[in-house]
Amino acid sequence: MPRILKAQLKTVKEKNDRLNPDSAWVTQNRKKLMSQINNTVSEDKPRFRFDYVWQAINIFVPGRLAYSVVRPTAIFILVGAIATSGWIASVGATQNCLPGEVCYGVKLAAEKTQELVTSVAGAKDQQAQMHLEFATRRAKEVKKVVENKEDDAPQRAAEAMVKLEKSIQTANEVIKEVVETEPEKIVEVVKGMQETAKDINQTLTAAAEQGGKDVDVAGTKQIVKDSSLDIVQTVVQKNKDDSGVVSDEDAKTIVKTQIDVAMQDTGDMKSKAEDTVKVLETAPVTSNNLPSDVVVSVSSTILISTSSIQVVVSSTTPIVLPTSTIKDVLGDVSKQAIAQGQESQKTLEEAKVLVEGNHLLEAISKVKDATQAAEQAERTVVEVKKAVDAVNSGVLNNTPIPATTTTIKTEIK
Amino acid sequence: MKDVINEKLLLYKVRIKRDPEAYGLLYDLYVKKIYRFIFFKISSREEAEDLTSEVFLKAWNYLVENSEQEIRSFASFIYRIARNLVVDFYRERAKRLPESSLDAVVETLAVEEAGGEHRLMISGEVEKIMKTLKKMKLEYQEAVLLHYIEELSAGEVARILGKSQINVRVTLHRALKKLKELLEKNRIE
Repeated sequence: MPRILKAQLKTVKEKNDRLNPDSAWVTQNRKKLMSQINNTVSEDKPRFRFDYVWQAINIFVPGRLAYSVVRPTAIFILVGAIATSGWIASVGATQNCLPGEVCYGVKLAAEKTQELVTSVAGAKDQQAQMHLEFATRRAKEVKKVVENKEDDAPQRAAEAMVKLEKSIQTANEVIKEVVETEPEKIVEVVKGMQETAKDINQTLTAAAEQGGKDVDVAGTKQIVKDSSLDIVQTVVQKNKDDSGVVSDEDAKTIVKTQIDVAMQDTGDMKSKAEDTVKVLETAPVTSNNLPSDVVVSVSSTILISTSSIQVVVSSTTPIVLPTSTIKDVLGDVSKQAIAQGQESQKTLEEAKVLVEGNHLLEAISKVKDATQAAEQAERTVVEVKKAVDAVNSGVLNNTPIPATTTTIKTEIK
Repeated sequence: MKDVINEKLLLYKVRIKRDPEAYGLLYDLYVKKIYRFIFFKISSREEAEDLTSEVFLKAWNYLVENSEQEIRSFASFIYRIARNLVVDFYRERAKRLPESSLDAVVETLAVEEAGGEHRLMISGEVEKIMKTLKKMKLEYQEAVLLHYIEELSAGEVARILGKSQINVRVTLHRALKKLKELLEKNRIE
């Protein structure tokens, strides 16, 4: 009976027309309803919300399973994904931030976090690699800041360079720890350091060429070079004291690389000095038709010597010299720099011979001497170039040259 | 299963995209069921039509204005609206009959409904069943109507009536037993 009763109940809606609505009314009411709801639909589509994703999933997942298992799991996964991707996206978005920008702090904070995590969980060689990477980033920032040519570019570049120097110094300290604690990894780490130093120097040189006289990268370049050389010396000394830390072949390779880098830098400096001399030789300047004289601010003793004039100046007071004299002096200074470059190259060649004879520490000492001399000469070339640019622009434009801020600190005899 | 997914998809389109066409399809699926549910309680064709229209309009407004609210089943959602509107309908009637209390009016209406089966043009076994069903208490009527006549699952009936599934199963069992007893009693008489 119950089964028959149930079957009869099922058929009630089909067998009893009175229970069902009039089909004409159904159609008419549909039209009316559509008209009413169409009036309530605005042009603006609803904005996306996170729970829409859940509602979409719920279409295909059975209700109970969805609510008891899939939903908590999905929420867990999505929250995790959003948190992770949010962090990655935020930090990723700051990668192009430069000093002076608001987001630059976020970039540095992300690096600090990375530094903290690596200091707890990472090996020393990884820490060193990380600090070298940070230093490379700072160098690229200097270049980008200069390329953007904003008014405060020199200050922003200086800010990045201070941080670059700090990263290099930290890397230096960590690498020295690697030498003591994980000597088996030292060759790879030192090679990484040398490569980084080379890249940074190239980047900073390019930045200085674009930035002109206001962007001074010489000091930072020197710190990077010295740091690299210091590490090489530490490794070679360690190898000598504690034989077998690195193979002789590896030690030689590291020192040779350092010599090659110094040779390259010296060659570059010489080329610049030679270019300056050529510019001076072709400049259409005579002492009689100059529009004005050039004011040179001298802050240390300088001996100015030409074939016709010999002046010794020892003053911090700006002095006025005829442009033709300045031109001659600058030419002489450049030639001195070229001579210094040649001397450094000679010293480096001697270092190469010492390496072949396995006198690595002596070779490094030579590299240091050559590097310091070349660096000093390069500073001189940079200053001379600034002065040459000032003289040329004044003469070619036929306008009075404003007092230059050129300061020649090197003592030239 | 396919129908369930289709219905959920339509509901999703209505809520997220405010798609009137999707709502039109949901209307096609449910208009007869809702009408039958209301008509069974009110027994007046015109009033059942008005209330059915109102149910669908209210449902649309709720869906688009509360898209963050969770709606597991469109069936239980629309039946609940229909049920509430029927209650409102009775309240309105009570106001129009101030001498009587609401309970009295509802009771009166229940009696009227019980005696109003003459409005249903039914015949044979079905006629007897419907007449008998109308004589049962409201709780049994609703459970039998939704589960056996409209073929909704016990879970959906539970959500519409605001009861637990076990409670609904017990009610259905008792209602069917009672219906059977009454039908047998009528047969003897």
